[in-house]
Amino acid sequence: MAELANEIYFAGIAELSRMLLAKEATAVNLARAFGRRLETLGPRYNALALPLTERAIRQAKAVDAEIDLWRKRGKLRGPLVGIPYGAKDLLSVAGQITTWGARPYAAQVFDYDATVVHKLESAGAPLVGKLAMVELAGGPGYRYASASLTGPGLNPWDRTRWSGGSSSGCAIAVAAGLVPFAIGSETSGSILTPAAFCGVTALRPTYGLVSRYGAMPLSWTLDRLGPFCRSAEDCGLVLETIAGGDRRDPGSAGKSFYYTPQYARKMSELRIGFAPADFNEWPEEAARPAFQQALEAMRGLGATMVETRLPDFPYGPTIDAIISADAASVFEPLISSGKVDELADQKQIAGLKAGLEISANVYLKAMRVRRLAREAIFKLFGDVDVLLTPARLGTAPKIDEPLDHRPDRARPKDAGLTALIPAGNLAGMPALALPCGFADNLPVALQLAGVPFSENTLLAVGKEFQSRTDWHKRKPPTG
Amino acid sequence: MKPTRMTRRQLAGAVLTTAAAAQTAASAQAPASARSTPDGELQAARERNQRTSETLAAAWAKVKVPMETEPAFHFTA
Repeated sequence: MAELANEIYFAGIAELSRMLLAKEATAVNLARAFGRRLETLGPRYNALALPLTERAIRQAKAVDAEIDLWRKRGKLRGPLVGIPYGAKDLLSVAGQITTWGARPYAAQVFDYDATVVHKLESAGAPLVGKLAMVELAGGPGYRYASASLTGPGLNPWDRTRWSGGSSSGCAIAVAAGLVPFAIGSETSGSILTPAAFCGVTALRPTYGLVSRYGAMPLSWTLDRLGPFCRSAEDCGLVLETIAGGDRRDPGSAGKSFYYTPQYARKMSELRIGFAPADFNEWPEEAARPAFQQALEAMRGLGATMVETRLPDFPYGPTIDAIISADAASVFEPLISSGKVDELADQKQIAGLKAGLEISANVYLKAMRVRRLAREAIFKLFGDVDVLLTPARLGTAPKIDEPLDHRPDRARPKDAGLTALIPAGNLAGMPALALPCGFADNLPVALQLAGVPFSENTLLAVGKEFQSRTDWHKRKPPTG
Repeated sequence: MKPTRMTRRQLAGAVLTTAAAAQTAASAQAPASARSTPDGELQAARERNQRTSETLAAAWAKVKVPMETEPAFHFTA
């Protein structure tokens, strides 16, 4: 078979499937090509935790035999047959090292696969590598991008900038064409932030929709797994494969997901909630034109635009209290053993230790405020179908910049929807990150969020937006 | 004293001012020099937790959270 063209590294899932069906590529070709590219370019961005190319090629050989049988029917068994992918290094793969991005776990090996890894293998998707992450998925907070066993995630658009975290390797690998899709995780912003900074499409599913069995826990009532992809449509295809009930995940909602763009409501029937201040006042100066143009593009879809704002609750402190207490409990053996001091980030170390001192009273207060906040947020959805806001208010910070440094500038009076990342996580809501432009040659993105289990609506809006824009197709200068 | 009855919308509104002010306070950072040692970092982390606790307490004081409001745990049978 002829050598694969460079374009395949940025092809979507449907195009790769078409190539497999048309014998323009084999699953082994794809696994080898993406695996080698990940091994070669991944370290350039500190994106690779563990190469699994040979394992992927073995998987792909079995898939090719199956494709030969299905080709006679003119279609493949499923959309991910033969499509290589990468997994954040907090997902266990039997017999392989799973570091959780942290030195104390550098030699950790599990003897079972995470449910998502098992599901993707059953779907015929070869795993070409484990992808780098911020240590312990960020735990209770970190100060520097270097808070990772593999070093700071370097942004493919500009390697002097951070990739975002904690799913840094996932966003880098998809943005740089090292894998067609990747599975990451979010507790509070770990999918949306790197997706926004690296300019890729990513979906944070509803809490409980995707099993977390075999994934590192950070905060039991917040953690979720979700896909990084080239488009909203690809996110739908991957989510359909990885979603589903799982008795081994106590938070599982027991629900499946079927991606049904054919049944999507007309855009003219949808109401999109937004706050003008989110686009005009809150973003960094350089990013405002991109966000304002993106808002206009969103208006152009034909949906009714409704001005709204989040109910005022202390979302940030509430989620901080929950994550800090949960993380300290999860990692108490690490803390009490003293090995916590081997972590790379001093703020992270201190945050874990101090988290052990959070009282039950404070934790329960946070969880009760959370319930009220969630009820108040859901009432918004009587007036709107989705919420729209910038995913992050600016571009990726410089690699050595303290991440907890906030520039001194006046805060706009209207909070708008700017707290949608912590609010959406507290409420278990799904969210979609959509690349929407550039500022200073770096990507910026929108966030769409909806009520639990409204993924098809978010994906429909995302697909429509991406049919009229090409931001998600832009390629960084990876060569 | 008879407990005050509030609708959820009133409840959300009542938290408004306290929450916004407290979030700003909670995001304030200790000076870099104070946290340059492990002990300094630990102290800064404790202070962050203290501010978080105060923020939640302020929201709590502003609104009489109904006694029946359960923590937002998710458990399935």
